[in-house]
Amino acid sequence: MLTLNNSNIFKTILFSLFLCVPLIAQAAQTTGKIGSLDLHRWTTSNGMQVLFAPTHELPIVDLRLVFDAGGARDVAGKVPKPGLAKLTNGLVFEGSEGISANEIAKTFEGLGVQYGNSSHRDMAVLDLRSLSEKPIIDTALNTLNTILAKPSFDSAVLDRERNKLLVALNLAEQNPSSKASLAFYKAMYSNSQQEHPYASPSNGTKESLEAIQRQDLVDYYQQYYVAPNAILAVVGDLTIERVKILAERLSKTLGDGEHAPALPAVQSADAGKNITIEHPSTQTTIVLGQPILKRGDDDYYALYLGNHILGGSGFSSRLVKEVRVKRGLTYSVGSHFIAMRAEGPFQISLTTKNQSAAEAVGIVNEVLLDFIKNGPTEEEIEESKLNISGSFPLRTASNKSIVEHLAVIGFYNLPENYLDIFKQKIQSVSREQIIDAFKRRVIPAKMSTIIVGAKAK
Amino acid sequence: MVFMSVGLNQTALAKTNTQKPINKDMVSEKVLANGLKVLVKEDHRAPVVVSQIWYKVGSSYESSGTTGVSHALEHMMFKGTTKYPGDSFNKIVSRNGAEDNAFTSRDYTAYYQKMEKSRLEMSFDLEADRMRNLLLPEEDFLKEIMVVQEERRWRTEDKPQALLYEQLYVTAFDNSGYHHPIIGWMEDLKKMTIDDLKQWYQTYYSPNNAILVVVGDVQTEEVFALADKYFAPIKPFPNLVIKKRTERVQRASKRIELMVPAKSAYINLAFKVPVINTAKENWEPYALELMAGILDGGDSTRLNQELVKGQQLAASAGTGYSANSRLDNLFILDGTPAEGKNIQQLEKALLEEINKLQQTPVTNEELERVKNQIVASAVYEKDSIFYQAMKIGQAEASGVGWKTEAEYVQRIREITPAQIQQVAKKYFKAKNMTVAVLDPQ
Repeated sequence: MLTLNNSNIFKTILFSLFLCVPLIAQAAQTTGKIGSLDLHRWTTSNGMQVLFAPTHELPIVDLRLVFDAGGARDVAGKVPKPGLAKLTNGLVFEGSEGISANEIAKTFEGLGVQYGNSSHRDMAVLDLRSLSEKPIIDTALNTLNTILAKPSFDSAVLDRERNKLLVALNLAEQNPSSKASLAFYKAMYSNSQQEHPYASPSNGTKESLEAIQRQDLVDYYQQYYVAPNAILAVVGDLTIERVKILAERLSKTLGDGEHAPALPAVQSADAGKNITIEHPSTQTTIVLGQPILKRGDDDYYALYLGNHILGGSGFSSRLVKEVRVKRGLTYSVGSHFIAMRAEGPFQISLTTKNQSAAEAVGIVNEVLLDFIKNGPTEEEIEESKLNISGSFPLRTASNKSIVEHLAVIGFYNLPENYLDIFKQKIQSVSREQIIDAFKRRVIPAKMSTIIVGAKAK
Repeated sequence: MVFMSVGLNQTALAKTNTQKPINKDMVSEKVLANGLKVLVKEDHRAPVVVSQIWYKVGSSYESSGTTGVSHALEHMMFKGTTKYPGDSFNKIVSRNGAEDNAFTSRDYTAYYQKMEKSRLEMSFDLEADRMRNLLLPEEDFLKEIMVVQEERRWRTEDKPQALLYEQLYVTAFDNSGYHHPIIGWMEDLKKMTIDDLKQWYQTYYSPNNAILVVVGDVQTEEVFALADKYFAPIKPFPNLVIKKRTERVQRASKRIELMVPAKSAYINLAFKVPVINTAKENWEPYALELMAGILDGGDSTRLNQELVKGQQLAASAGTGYSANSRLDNLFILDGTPAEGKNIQQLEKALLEEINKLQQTPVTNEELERVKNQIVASAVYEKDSIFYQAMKIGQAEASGVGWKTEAEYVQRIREITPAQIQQVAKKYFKAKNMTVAVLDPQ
């Protein structure tokens, strides 16, 4: 289903996503550990990657299916169709041959099964959470297979969901942060050299949404929701034999096909763009950044640790200290790298009252330039390393967080023991490496700045 | 940092008698001599622990002129004590790899750390220290109150739907403490002084007005001993008196239209209802929870089926009800109109859904579905130590108590279709209603 999301409760501390390690060849089945759980990994007979961590203390099963079918694929066809990935993903649970949308909802909800879907730039996701009691999980899986075998993509349903997305566009229009994000991605990924897939607005535009037809969804699903383009992550109260069987079945249901091709590398422009957008708000939203980080990048650890100090660790970070604590200019400020299939953004963002916008931009640039020039102190590095290693057990403290990790490991082809590798590599990063990596990779002249707000009175 | 205390509307029920043993549902309780209640729940699935301290004070305790003081004090709790001055608190927490935060709601202010299990002593040391020895430096306050003003802008001023929700509460409540927003009015924030905070701190931050909740890979007796070591020396405020400001009976239907820049209309339709802590008929809040679930418990439920899919009047529609608040609260229906539809049609349709519940008892099948979700949710919740701690803390801070909270699923199971019809008739009347409509400018 497509939902209009307006939850904004928690503190905005953004963590960089995971690490990159060079691609490895798929083994028949490998075993490792994640947290304190065993981790099993294999590929089904028609090419779906499976990662499974058994745990029997709670009678629940968490299942996450991810496909390389995100918004970046909207522009893969002859005609770009922004919003297609999102619509397709959103309609999977809205009726299939053999089961109507209402029956899907009633069946799952009657069993207390929680299900959901989401669409991002790289990934399309389907989630399921069920009690492990045999009649319940069996029905849940039967239902899931029926759903995935042949979604209807009913035209009337498409119209309705399309209309919801049109309303969502309106809601985004009244939200300065959404406005800024849209402009930011466009500025970073669209230039005279290249219109990179990441520039495409994943939620669509009025025009692009209205142009999408049922056949587009059918074709999209047929192309991308296939076994070789899928990762299945499972955590919970099942035996490996059971998971082997259910994975094989799901894999057959999804059917044969091809893994989506690699995305083009990002060719960045020589200079970043400065864009100002008028918006009737009391605060100005400021976003700066540039495309930098791809999965597998050698500079990953140095950039990760450097960013932790610069703006990725909340109150320990320079940006929070300078902009919020010292000057009281903002509630929310931070920086992060997103490692993606193609070069994902390095991003600094904050909000401040309109009258302080110019001052805030000045300070952020000052902090960034100083960091690039002089790097972090040894003390800052030590504090960050302590924080990262000390907080590690929290990453694998729940089944839910583990299934999310497994999906990422699978999707980006990371080794099973990547959490251990990450831990080690972070500990060995030196001050010189951070300075060197930031100098080479973070280029102020190439950073785009987006400012959304009202003119200060 | 503000947390909208939304009722945990997860309720599903299963007839499953799970064959596998679930984690012990055991909460152990100890009240120290100074009144601090310590609650411990062991969960050995992962080597982590969450420690939360809940102060029974929030925006509903505040008066006009100093609204937002509970939340402002929450911010200042990170600004140092004699033993740990300046930003030492943040440094220590960070160095120990703990994730920490705090949140203020209408009924409580709570602070927590989530960490590797061996760091619990650090948490108790810091919390006990700042419970009594907070410095509250004026210079830091003058900066931090600016941060709070930015927070208000970020959370409310620039978000049309948040503005409407705020206006809803202002309109619905005449004299209840729930009238004004948790973050406070900008006018009050601009005039707030450090003395306002000092007075607040010295009135409410007392061990006999607090609950310590610990969930995770710990040994109960060790936690009690540690709590004793750090918290027992803190003397309580003997004269703490909480006036319960109950809302007067509503006898007027209320309606407002909020006119602010926006791109989409939005509606909140609210009715005053009892909660677990206030209900004279004990079962009523559970019936209200199920009523919320019948309307908005998932895709198969009425608002989605009727308004979003059927009549396509709404792009989205939902309900909100906080059964765990301290005072009588609101049962809210909200909705965003579908493309090409107007808000009047949506309002009419929402009222019609209520009317249906008043005219006809829900079907057993429908009710079982909602109950099943509640029971399953109760199992899923055990995957998160943080969530388990939240349930305990919220129940205690609102006056309900963890023991009553532990009976939740059972009480839900007992509700019949007739009881849901009863509460629909009793509380969802015009003279108990507030309608807030966002009219985009």
